[in-house]
Amino acid sequence: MMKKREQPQRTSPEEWVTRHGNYLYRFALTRLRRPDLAENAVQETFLAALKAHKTFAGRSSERTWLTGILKHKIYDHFRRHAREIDVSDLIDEDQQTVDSFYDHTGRPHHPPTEWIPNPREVSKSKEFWEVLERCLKKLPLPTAHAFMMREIEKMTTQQICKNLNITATNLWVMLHRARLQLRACLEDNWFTDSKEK
Amino acid sequence: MKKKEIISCKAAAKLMSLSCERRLTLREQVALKSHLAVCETCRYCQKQIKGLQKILPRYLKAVQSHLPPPELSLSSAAQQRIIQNLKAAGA
Repeated sequence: MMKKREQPQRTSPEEWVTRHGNYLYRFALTRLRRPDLAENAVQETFLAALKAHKTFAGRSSERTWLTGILKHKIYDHFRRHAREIDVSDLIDEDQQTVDSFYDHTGRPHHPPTEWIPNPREVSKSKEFWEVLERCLKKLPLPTAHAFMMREIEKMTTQQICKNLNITATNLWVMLHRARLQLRACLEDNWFTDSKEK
Repeated sequence: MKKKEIISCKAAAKLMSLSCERRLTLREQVALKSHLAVCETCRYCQKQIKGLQKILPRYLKAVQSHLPPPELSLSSAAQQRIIQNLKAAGA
């Protein structure tokens, strides 16, 4: 009789790398931006997976399991990095950017124009994602990382604060800067142009 | 507190962002709503922030399927390096 659930097979490193290498590398690159760091994170992921292979119960797909390990490698990277930087400098910069969007009375220099993003429409557009990618890259790395954990991975405030070892108030400044800047960047580079297309 | 004092666009935007993170207090809700009632551009801003929240979760999928492959691919040299290192580690 065939068993319903397949026992996880011992995959060779070659198979792993060919099957999932690119996928994991792209994921890592969106967070770490530098090819050398992304490659290293992928390698560390495979190494950890190798050691933990027995614990892989086959409940999730191999790729989901590997992506989970990769995420933790990325968090580790930022945690190490966080020890070397001054968080208050980072928050100051984020706050200054928020301030720069407004005059002294709190009116925006460039009031938002009328456009509403249509998720179904834009998600089909390769150009949209390229613009979004460029806009995300204009954010400082830790700010972008915090923002992606929040809005893409949908992690909770507490999880992110613990991860980055920052206070909720600081995180809110980072996220607010990211939202305002991303909104403005997409308005300038996508929604305004695309109307004339 | 003065009655019916309308907050600035800057303060309103901060509340919009905060409302993505936690429930606003009653006072905050009133402040934001009164501002939005009289400020058209902030109403756009609010809709855009909410719209982006719906789009962003699709980003990871898009990275895998839409973005230009060459610059986002693990080079074959890198693949070989990783395979060698994995083997050295006892795979």
